[in-house]
Amino acid sequence: MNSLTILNNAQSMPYFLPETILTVGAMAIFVIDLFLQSSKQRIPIIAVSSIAFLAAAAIATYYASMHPYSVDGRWFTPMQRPVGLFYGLMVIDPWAILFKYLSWVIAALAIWMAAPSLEISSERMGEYCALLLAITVGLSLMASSSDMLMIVIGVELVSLVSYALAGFKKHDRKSSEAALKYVVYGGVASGMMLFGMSYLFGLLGSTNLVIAGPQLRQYGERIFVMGLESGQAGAGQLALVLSVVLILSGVGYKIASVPWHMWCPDVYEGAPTPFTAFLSVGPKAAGFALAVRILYGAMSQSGGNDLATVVSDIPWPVVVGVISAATMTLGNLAAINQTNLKRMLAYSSIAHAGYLLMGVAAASATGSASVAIYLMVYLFMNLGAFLVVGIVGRLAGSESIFEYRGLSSRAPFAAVSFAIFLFSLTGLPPLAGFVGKFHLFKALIDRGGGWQIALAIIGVLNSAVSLYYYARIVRAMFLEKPSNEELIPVPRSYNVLLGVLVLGVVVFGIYFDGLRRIADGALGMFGHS
Amino acid sequence: MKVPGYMTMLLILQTGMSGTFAALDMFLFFVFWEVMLLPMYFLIGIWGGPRKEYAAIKFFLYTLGGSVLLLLAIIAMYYRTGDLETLQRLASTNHEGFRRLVTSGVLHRGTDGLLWGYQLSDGRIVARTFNMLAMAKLGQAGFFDLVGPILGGLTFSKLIWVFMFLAFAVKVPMVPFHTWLPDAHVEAPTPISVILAGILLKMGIYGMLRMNWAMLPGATAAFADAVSIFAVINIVYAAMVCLAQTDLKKLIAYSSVSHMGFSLLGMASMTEAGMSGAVLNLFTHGIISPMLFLIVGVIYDRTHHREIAGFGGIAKVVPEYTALTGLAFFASLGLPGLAGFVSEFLVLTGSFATLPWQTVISATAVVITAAYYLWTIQRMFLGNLNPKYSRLPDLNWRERLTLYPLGALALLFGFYPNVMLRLINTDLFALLRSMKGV
Repeated sequence: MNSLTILNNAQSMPYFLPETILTVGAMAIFVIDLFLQSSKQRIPIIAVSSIAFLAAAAIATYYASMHPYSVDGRWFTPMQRPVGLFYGLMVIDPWAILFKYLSWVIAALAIWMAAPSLEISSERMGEYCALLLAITVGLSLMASSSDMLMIVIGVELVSLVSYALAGFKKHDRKSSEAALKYVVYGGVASGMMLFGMSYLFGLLGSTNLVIAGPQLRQYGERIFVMGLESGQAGAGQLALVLSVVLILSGVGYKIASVPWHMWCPDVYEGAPTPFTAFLSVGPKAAGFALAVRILYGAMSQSGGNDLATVVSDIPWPVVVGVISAATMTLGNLAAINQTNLKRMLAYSSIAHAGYLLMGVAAASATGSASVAIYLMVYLFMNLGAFLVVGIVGRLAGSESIFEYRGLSSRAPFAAVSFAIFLFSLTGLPPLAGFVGKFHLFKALIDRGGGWQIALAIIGVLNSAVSLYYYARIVRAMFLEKPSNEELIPVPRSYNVLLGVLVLGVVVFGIYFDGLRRIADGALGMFGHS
Repeated sequence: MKVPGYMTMLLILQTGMSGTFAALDMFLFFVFWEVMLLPMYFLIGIWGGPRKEYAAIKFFLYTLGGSVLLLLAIIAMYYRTGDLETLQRLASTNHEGFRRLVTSGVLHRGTDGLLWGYQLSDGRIVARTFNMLAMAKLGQAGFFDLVGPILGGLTFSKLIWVFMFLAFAVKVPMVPFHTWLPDAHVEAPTPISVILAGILLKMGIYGMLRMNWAMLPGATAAFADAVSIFAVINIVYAAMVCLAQTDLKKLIAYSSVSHMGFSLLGMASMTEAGMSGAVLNLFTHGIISPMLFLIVGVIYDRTHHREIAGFGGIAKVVPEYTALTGLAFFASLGLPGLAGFVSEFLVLTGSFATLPWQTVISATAVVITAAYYLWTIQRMFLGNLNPKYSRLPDLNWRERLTLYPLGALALLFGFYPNVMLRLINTDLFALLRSMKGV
């Protein structure tokens, strides 16, 4: 990756504009909130101004992606050639840009969902929005950090603010429990990640992944030579593998993969629904951006075609493959018996992390692109599913599956949309979920070894299992009689949002060439693809 | 939710079915194949009988479980087509179908004389293809057999064959994957049973013919004996199960399983007569079994039950209905002069040449079939009239309009099956010849 240009702090500022805007925005929201104490329009004003900050950040992202810098008298934009900021702490490349845009969209949708929700009162809306903007900064840092210190800062920023938001309903026991569990698990996971990083630092003498990548490539030979001299090749290799597994555990915690998934159902159940929706998509997307950057970016090299080979014999593809199989199987089997929809969707999102890991395990350009494609469609269907949970929970105050009986006659549009989201999550064509899954399987089969094929078979059988519990919800909504016939009032802004998400699921299910091109384009950063 | 919803679902179902038969691109085929599932789930689940939820989800899970394997197979085939080195090697063998693929320009040969990939209709060259016709030509030239063992000792082509076959075997349905069918048929409303039996089941055999047989002839030849054994089980076992049924609709559902077994047997025989009988059987069964389901619907509308033993002697009250039921039953049991006979006869003639023992055992099922149908006629229509039904109304015009055309077709194809056979045989025989490498 010698193509990376390192900029100094002053030169980096234009590229850091989106994060700057959001940091200012988060503080500004607190101040704006103070002036609206007695206003009746408190929620809409705060929501609109938060979304305005996100829009500004999106424009700034575009500006950053097009802002030229010079190398030897020739000018490039980060879209053409990746650029390192702040002496290499962060990197701006198409991959980072893509995930920044995704973060802004997810945050905007989560704020939109929060506005008519009754779980977040008008006094606390400012708090919610400001904290959400802060998390979004963290997501963006995770997506573009290229230094292990920066990775920790990004992950911790997301985690710390998430703890606060998970316990947002102060007087709700479940919410407090969620926050506490989240803190304990999060603390352990980031401790393990830091420990792993310390090993890597000890081995390589640098915290920078961009520098570490080429070093790791040479490291295999170094270990071999050292082993010849001392007869102890195993120790260096063991330390390397251990550090990779420990770093994976930090990432695995963010994306809720087995065995770091235990916090997920409790936190999803206890947190306010709009934040649960955000949590199930935002940190997951950033976690995968990070996983691909570490594993595919730094720990593999080009195998001549678009399939990568691992460096220094670190067996991460097979480790990720095993985690993937365990994650999706556990997620799907555990979801079958849930009667609380938030818990069921929590397990389903664990299963989806498992599917996504298939793309990472493929260790190829196609695999990394398929992860990006899946995340883009997953955003629509999972946010949509949680939105309907929010709509029903808003009136009923419960997420039990019994509340969904006969929903087709009580809230027809919400019920039909929910069915579309659920079938899309199952992966049925012609909905977007199928497109995502198709690309994941395609990446694995393209790779074509024995365990990859076995993993693909486990993957498809899992999607058949997942149909069972998704269809349970559909069955309750369409095939069962409602306990009361009363219509469920749905705020107009929710209907509009539902329409937008349904449109996304259907349109991307039929026309997905654009998604594929965006994802392929985002991979330009990895020097070896 | 009621009528508009029903019609919406029916039209989506129709889209899926037409699309599946029309698609010549594997990806598109798969999309349409799955599009059928959703409307079927709702049609059975919302408008079905007492155990509708169970039947609907069972149908959904069985079919999806099979078809996800089909998805993997399709992707794997797609990547195999990109193996230009093997293609290059194949080009020197001068297989006729393969040569035609090159001369027609589908397989693009560059100016350097090497194969470059596949030409799309808009002139672009791509490295891989989902085109089913191109894949069939490649497969018949032995392309997919040219790769080594990959999983559990199965070669690539055999593994893919099994994956595809499982997906289609669920749809046929082949014992032991048939248990969704009686549930779905019995719980579905009459029109949906008609579509299920008349069209949906045929997709299984169609898919096998299009993919397993046409694209992987080598693996097909290797598995033909195994398929024939499953076919025999299908035919005989399902016929025996029919004997034990007390519910008229369930009896007809199982008789469908038995009859689809004949198609499997004909396909497994790999002879001209057997295969054309198998395909003709799809058509004749597509006429007869919808008629049978409509007949069940007629009596269920009037009496609200389907227990065979609950009727008795109703021939005196509803003579027209009795006559049409007799026609349908005799067509289904294979009485000469009616459509079912022609296809069964062709299948048995064809399969006797290559699979004599299987044919002999299957032929016994013809007797069992006659037994359950005649016994049903005896119990329902003959004997003493059940006084409850002394005022049973006969067919109305709506029912006549559905039953008479089907009855007429059953008669027409019994006497003059050539109309259909001519249509079937041209392509089928060409396929069979190229499968055998002639």
